[in-house]
Amino acid sequence: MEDLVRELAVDKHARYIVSVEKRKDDFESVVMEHLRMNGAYWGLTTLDILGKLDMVDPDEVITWVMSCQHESGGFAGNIGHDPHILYTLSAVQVLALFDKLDVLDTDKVSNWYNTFHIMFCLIYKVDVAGLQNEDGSFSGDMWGEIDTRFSYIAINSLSLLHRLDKINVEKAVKYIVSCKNVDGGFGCTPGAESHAGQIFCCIAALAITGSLHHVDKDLLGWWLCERQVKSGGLNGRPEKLPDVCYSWWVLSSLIMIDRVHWIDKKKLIKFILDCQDKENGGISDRPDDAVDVFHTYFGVAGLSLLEFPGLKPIDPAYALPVDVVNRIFFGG
Amino acid sequence: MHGRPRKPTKLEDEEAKAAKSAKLRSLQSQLLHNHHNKIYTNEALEISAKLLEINPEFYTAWNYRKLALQHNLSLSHSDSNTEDDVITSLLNEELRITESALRQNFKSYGAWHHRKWVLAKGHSSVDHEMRLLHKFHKADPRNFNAWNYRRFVAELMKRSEEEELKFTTEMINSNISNYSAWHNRSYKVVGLNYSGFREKMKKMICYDPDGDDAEYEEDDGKGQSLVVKSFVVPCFVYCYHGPHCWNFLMKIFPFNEMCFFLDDFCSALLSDLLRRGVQGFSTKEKVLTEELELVHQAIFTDEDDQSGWFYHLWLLDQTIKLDVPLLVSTWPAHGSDLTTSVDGFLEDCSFSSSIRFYSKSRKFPLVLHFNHPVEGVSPSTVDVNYAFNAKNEIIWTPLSRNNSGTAGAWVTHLNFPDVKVDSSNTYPVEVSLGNSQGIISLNGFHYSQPSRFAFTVRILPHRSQSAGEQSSTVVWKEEYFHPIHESSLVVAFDQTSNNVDNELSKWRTVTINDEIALFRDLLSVTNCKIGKLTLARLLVAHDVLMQQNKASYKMLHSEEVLELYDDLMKMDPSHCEYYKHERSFALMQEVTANKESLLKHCFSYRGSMPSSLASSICLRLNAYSLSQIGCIGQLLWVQMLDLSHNELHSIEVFVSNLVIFERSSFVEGDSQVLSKALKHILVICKAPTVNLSIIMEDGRSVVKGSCLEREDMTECGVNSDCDFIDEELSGSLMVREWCGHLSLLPSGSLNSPLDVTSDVLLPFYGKHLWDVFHEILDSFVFPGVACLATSGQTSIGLEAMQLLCCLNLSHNKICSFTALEPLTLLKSLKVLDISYNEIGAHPIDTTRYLCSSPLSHTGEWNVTEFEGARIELKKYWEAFVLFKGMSLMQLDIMGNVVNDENFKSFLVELIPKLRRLNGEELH
Repeated sequence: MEDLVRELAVDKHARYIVSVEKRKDDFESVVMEHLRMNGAYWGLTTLDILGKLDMVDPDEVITWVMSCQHESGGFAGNIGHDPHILYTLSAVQVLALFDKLDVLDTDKVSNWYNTFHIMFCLIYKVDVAGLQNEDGSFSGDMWGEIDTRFSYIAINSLSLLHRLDKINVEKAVKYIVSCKNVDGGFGCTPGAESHAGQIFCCIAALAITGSLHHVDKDLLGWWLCERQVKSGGLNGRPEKLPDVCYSWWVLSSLIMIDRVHWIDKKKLIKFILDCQDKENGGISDRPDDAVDVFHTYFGVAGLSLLEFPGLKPIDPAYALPVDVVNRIFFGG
Repeated sequence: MHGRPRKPTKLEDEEAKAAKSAKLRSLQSQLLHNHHNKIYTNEALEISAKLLEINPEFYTAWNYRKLALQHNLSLSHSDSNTEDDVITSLLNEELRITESALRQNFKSYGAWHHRKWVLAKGHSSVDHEMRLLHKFHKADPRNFNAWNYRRFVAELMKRSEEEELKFTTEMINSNISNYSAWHNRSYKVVGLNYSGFREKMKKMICYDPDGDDAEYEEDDGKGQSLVVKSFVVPCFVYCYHGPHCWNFLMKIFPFNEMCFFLDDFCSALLSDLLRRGVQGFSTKEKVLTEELELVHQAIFTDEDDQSGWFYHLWLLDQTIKLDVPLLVSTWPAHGSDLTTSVDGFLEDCSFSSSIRFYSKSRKFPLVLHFNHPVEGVSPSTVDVNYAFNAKNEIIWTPLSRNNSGTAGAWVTHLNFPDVKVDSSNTYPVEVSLGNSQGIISLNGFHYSQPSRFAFTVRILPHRSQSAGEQSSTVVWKEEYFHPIHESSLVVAFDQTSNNVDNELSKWRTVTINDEIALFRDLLSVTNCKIGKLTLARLLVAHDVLMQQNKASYKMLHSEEVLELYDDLMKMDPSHCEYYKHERSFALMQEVTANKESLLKHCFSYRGSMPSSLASSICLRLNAYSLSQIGCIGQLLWVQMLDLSHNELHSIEVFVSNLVIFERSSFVEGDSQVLSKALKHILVICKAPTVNLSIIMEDGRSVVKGSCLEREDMTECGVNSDCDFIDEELSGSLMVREWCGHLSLLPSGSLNSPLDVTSDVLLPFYGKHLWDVFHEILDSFVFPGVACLATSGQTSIGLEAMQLLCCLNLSHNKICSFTALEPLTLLKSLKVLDISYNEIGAHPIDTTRYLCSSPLSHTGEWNVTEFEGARIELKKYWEAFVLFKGMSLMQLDIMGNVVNDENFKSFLVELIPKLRRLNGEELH
């Protein structure tokens, strides 16, 4: 392991993230404009894991995040866009990173109700029925797309806000369990194929709600550990190419069910390090591909899960650094 | 940004990109402007269309288009002159835009959802959508968005499931390496929980419960239509209510007949689901055999291709697994004699054939260990009869650490009050369960196998001297352990042989043997990992099936299995730990297979020990290369356990569904229950009544249930011992034959009068039938349960070993205190050695979410408990979780990173009863 430590271009990655943040006019930035909130979460969490969060000005970030809040309470991917549950989680996570979840109280004068106002105006959107549907599933916004990703997001953000009691957890769990497949994995709706990203969402949602007993750990563990291909990288489904982002989806799932020792960690570390752009910083999906913030985050977070020296440990369920999560749940 | 090469961009590219970027930026800001100002003109719409063609991920533009469409539709509705084709063209435009957006990015969630949203308005045609899907499947046969969309369209357009299954077959035939197609196949094969399907059933039943009479009258000669009406319909009501009815349906009807009238009755969807149904009996044989053949092609075409692996494993699992909860083992075991001392003086007791046990508080545990986690163990479902029984005193506790209220193992404590007893006094205890419903597994199956077990308890008289507890220190040194003779191992093996030999078990054995032969063939041609792994799993399954028939069965293949795993570890070192895990299970199985093999691991401990340790026998599985423990059901009696020098990461236990014991011997002579094997069950359906008869070997009919048509559904009931009704075998009756074991429901459970209004009539009708058949048929199972080692559903930890007093886990790979959480449920644990592990050495805790804490909203937690506490509590919350409820006297934690002075003083404070820490006496 020690010989690998020098291989991680910590400073370059940090500089890369800050530079992407500043860059707003090239084509990629314009195409990604609508999900800048996700980008902020990926970038800032990476900086924190690398121990470089002080490279950004918290006030600037918080001000921008709050300006993406919609009057209904949910957050948009950027200023002027529509609110969506996808960006609401990222906003909550970014606020948590800076220990600023309280701005949700103070910014809107109308007392502490606002803590959950942000989720719950969204959750209770137009008709108070909320984004949770009768069968326990969650919609992403008022237009009704259903996906277990949204179940995870709702459960994660509500838990971070200590407001999990605002939804029907039992039904939410039941719905997630109904998306379980015969290979032990989970899909986005009942009957949909297992996919590592979706498995992460479902496992993490079950973890946060203390429901991991619904998981066939050995069966799923085998499916997940077979995601490791010869190069050491992980794929997201059988017979697919490896991709750095699965270092997060697969690894965090394996950790939550205590089966992470079933893969070859050293080979995976090597694969992630091989995907670095050592000149300009950033990490790509596969060696020698173009880098982006998304894969930089998943690569660094993956290394953190692999206990790479010098990185802050990250929590596999809340997808935030362990110290941030512990601060929220154990005080301090 | 997937799969785009990293390269410096050329200057001309740079310029082109800048122009593109400026164009996109302008479109995006115009779109937002129009959106905010609710401008829905043609020009404005055109901008959104252009934008989405370039950037389909711009989700606000999809929202904008939906608002615009709603706006424009409402305009055209208010204008009564508008032709339908205006609306059509509006909708067509939306479809066109999603299509071109998908061409840009076929993974665009926003585009797929927009299309669904438009389609839900009743637009487009199956053909059109299928043509489009065809293009996407061709471009990428694994595109899961397209597969999801396909299910949506098939559902919405009521496309038959026949066609859909055929489609997966085609996809598989065109390319056998298509995991997505295999998945969709398994999904259709299971089909149990699909809400869309249930909706469909619900509609069908609510709106048209009788089907189309005219169409089915033609069949009347065969008596089919009435059967369908009176019998199948109410069952379908239950499809909507849960999986039970599926199982039920599939058990009732042989495969071909099922398909026959289902094809007639409603869409082929059903027949498909049912034909492919896996819970049934004759259905199961046929389906699984067919599917196995198909998947062999996949595995044998390219054995390294994973597409068929998981499907194959699942099929095998279905071949030998049962979902019904059964009692695996108990403590005390049936027929055992216990000698209990209240003061710890047992050494000189003369009852050598007796299990010795110490209980200061005159209480002792009674443990029930099931194959599945169950709920509902209570005085109303479990009868405990003994001299001091006071109904209210019996409280059953699930031995589980989650919120579910279910557990694989349950414990209660029997209380023997302080009466003057002399040593010859023994008290019989009798426990029976399964006579009434209420014990239900996580997946909704009822425990319905009545069983009874009995044992005796002898309480030794109290003596005045007290045992010196202070001085006793357990030392896990080799010289203190001595081999023992068989006669001194007083373990009531909860293993009674059975001579089950029915069709199902035959079919299982044949199938497993065929598979074994096939994979041996494969391995003779090519040395592949899936071949070895599958063969190892099959051999384990085979041995387990055999063991169910013979208690003394030796694990015939265990050496071969271990060898196979050793090979796999060398062949595929990346997954070495996985094979080690499976290998550990095979090892544990070998150890616990019978008394003889267990004896090799039992030693007599001749060192000092705490008085609460009444038996000096120690089970030693030290230095045994275990990375996992298992088969706890066989080890409920253990009081001293040495697991040191292994490779254990956690003490979670491999769930062993594998070892199940026939309990019919317990129920002999019970008048409520007939333990004899059944010859036939006849299900007789004749309008307007449905009769169920169960025919015993001797030709006697023991149960007859009858339900009248709903108009006059006044009479229902079950009569025990009624005679065989042979007149009903003639005429236009349908007779279904079954073979198997049966235990019967108590009569009277069906006698509840039915007072129904027409609204609830159908469900009641169904329920009634269901009650009759479910109970009977659920018990109508091969009384053995096995599953492949990989599919342990829920883990039951060491917590089932309620007598455990001394535990040595030193020199393992335990990384955190959270991994030891099952120990908190072991109230008798006094001595714990966890020295030389890796606690504190890892920043990432892999059992953080398998333990109760505020993080997972489990356990009794109060966050303020932490907030107000000293800093150590936050720092050591895992240790706090583990040790706060334990009453350890001796603890060893040296050789762990966490072991420093600070932590030790924290521990001393946390565990007031602790006498020795790391070998040092505490004061």
